[in-house]
Amino acid sequence: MLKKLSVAVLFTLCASTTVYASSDRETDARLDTLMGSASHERFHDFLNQLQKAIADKDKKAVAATVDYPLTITVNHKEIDIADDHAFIKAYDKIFTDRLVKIILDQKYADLFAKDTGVMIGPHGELWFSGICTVKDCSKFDIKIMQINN
Amino acid sequence: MDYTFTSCFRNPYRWGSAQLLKKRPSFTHYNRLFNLRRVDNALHRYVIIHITSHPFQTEKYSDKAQNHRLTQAQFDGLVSFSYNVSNPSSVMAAADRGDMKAVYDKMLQYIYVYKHDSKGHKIGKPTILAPLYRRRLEEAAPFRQE
Repeated sequence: MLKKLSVAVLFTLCASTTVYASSDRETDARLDTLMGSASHERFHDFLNQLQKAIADKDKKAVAATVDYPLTITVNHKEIDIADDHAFIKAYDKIFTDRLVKIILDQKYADLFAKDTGVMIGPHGELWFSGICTVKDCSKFDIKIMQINN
Repeated sequence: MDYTFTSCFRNPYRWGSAQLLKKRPSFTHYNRLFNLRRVDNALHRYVIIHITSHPFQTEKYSDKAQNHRLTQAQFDGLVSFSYNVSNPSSVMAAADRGDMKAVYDKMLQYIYVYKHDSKGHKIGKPTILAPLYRRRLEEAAPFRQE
C-alpha cells in the first residue's frame, strides 16, 4: 500500500512539474525538439523582434514577418491580406490595443508550441512557425502564419 | 501482438496534441498529459474535444493493420499519424499489406499545409512547416527500408 502510494505521489509530482512549471530552458528544449536542434534561439529572437516592432509601431517591420497571403480574423470576421501593402493598410484594424498588449505581455517561457507552430496569447491570437525553404527542411524562415484578433 | 501505449509516456508532450491511450481517459487525465497551461480557453476545449473523439478511431485503424505484424515503434508511428490526418486509410492499407516502403512514402506525402481565404478557397502555394515535417519523419522512421 505504502509502495503504491509512493509511486502515485511521485507520478503526481512529475506530472505537475512538467505541465505547470515553465522556464526559458524548458521552452528552449521544447522548441529544439519540435523545430530542430539548436533552433530555439531563432524563435526567441523572432519573438523579441516582433515584440519590439509592435511596441515601436514599426508597421513595415511587422509586415516583413508575415507569410502572405494571409487570412486574418478581425472581430470574428475574416479578411484576406494579399501582401505587405495590404497588411500595412489594415495594420491599425488588426493590431488593436488588446492584441498589442497580449503580444507584448507574452513571455518566452510561457509560449505554447506544437507541431504546427508557436502560439502567442491565451486564445491563440497569433501563431508563427518555421516555413521550409528547401525540400529537406534543413533551412526555414520563421513567419507569422495566423492572426486572430 | 498486444501493443502497449506506454511508449508514448516517454515524452507525453512530444507533439503537443496527440496522445496514445488504450482507454478513453478523463478530462483531468488529459490536462495532466498535455502541455495545456491555459485551462479556460477555446484552444483547450478544442484539443480536449478533438482528442477524446480520436482514441476509438485510432484503435479502429490500428486494428486494420493486423495482417502484418508491426513493431511497437511502427505501431506508435501509425497511431501518432492517425491522430494528425483526417483520413489515414491509404497508409493503414499499406501497413496491412506489409508494404513498409509504401507506408514510409505515403506518410511523407502528408507534409503540406494549405492556406484558405475567407471563402474557404485554397490560396498561395502549399507550404511545408518545419515542425510538421520533423513529426512525419519521426512517425515514418520505423517503416524506413534500408
